[in-house]
Amino acid sequence: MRVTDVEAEFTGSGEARRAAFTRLIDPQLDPAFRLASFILGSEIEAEDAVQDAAARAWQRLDTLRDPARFAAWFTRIVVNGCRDRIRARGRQPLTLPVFEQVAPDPAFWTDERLILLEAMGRLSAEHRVVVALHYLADLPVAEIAERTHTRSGTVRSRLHYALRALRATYDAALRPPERKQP
Amino acid sequence: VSHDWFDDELRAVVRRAVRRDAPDRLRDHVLEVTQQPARRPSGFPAEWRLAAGAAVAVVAITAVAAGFGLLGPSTSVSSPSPSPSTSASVSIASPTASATTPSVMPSPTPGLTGYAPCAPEDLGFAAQGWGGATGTLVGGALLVNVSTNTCTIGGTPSVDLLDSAGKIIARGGAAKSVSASTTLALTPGQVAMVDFVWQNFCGAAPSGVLTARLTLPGGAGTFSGPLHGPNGADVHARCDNAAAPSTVLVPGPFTISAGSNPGGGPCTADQLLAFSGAWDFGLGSAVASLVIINLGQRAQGFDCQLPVAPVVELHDGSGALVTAAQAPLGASTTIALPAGQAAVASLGFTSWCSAQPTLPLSLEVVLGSSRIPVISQAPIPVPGCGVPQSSAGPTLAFMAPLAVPNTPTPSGPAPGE
Repeated sequence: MRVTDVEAEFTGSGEARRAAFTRLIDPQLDPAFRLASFILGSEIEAEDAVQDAAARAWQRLDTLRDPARFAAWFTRIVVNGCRDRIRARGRQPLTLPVFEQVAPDPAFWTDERLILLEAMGRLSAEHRVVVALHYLADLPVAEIAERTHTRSGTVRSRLHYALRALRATYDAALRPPERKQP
Repeated sequence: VSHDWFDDELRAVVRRAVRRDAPDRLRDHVLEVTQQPARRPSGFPAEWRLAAGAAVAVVAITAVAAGFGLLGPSTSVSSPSPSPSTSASVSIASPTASATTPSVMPSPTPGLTGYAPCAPEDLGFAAQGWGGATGTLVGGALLVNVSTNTCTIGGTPSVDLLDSAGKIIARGGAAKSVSASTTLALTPGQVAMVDFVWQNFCGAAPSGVLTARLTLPGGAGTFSGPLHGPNGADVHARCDNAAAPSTVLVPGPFTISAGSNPGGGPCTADQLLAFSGAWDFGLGSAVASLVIINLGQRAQGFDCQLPVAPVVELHDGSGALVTAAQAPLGASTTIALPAGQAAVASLGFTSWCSAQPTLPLSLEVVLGSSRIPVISQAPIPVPGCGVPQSSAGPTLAFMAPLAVPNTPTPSGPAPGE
């Protein structure tokens, strides 16, 4: 479907508008759910966050000037919603992994990888957002900046510090335990 | 370990940490969302928004200095009333209004015709536990209108309880649809409440703070947040039937929270929750509601005394203090904030003439030595430099002091003064 068709439908009847919105949002639901799951550390909360983001997007559809930017616009709404949820939690810890109902694959989940995963669970919300957008959504720094309403320099800095923390944990896990001196 | 190898390893772990596909029910819920009427293009007509914005940009700084009208003659800025959501007009309080009359003045609940359903970002959510006896626990959930418009909610919601790991430990029934008789119009700052009853819990005692998740009927929104009040491993419903699931019953639809119970002392940070609503832009300025809720139990809690203009700090994304709104000298009035109700103020933010700040911006209310983080329902925007350009730096100001909807009378000087 061409963008111009979507634009025509946005200004059309309620049914046409609804159909256009559904076509635009459907391919975004899986990536949005993955993103929210990782940021929030909970599939249940991720479902809520994506549903709320969809409601917000539907209510604010008239503020989307360029339907070609729907994916970026919707991702931004999802990320903002996740941030608000984390803020509302107060001091409650974030937990990973989030594959609550998926049988884990023991061949993949080595001790080092589990330690890395735990370290991701300890990242701050802002660091986890940039890690998710970079490694899960495969976005370059400039697009992460756009979707988080931040400057590129800030994104680079957050990625740098997040990776440094993860790397330190990972390296420590690989290092053999120190022998006690007799 | 090389950088590229670690990068690949990280990518693999991140991707394996989450489920690949969203559950089908999420698609169903999103379809339900589109059955809600889409909101009108904006909270205010465009020409009115611009007029209000310009007024804010010009008057905001002087309004702070004027201490809600302690200086000079009236600087009231009246605006054409947009219909039907006129109750949340933004104007500068006149000297005679002083700190007693909020400019964001909710009108009595009008007829429902013409009000849009509340969007999720129009509503702040909080949940309280637990009262009751004989093994059945009664909690309360509230939704407060944090927007600057009157909007409607209705029906009987469903409530689930989740443990600290995000797992559902007690499930509510289906949310019941909206009928005309159960639809409520919420003016800005008004609170709608429902009770919920937790029954038959036979699992292991939950550790940590529980989360309540409230779902409105018809896909109108899902809200979740920590359960405030008595909570944790020692407080859970009695096990009556190990073969039956634990349930949460919502006995009836929302009601408007009202009434008062005088006699309480100063509000403390641990009994309050603060929200800011969506920001309306004008010329170089932005305006939003600040809403503060007293989480005390409705029937048992006392009113607490809240300053009408506590210090509100604005921080940038790195946590640095940018600016603060605070009561001018002499404005030490307080209001009585009843348990289960909210006070609403109007905040103006203007004159950002320097380099772009680190985002996101955030607000904190300062009460004595305590701080209350403000939950922003929408990102706080960076306003322009304003007309005329200001050299005073970014300014956050109370455009209207805190007031409880429909009970705007202050209770006198702050305790201890």
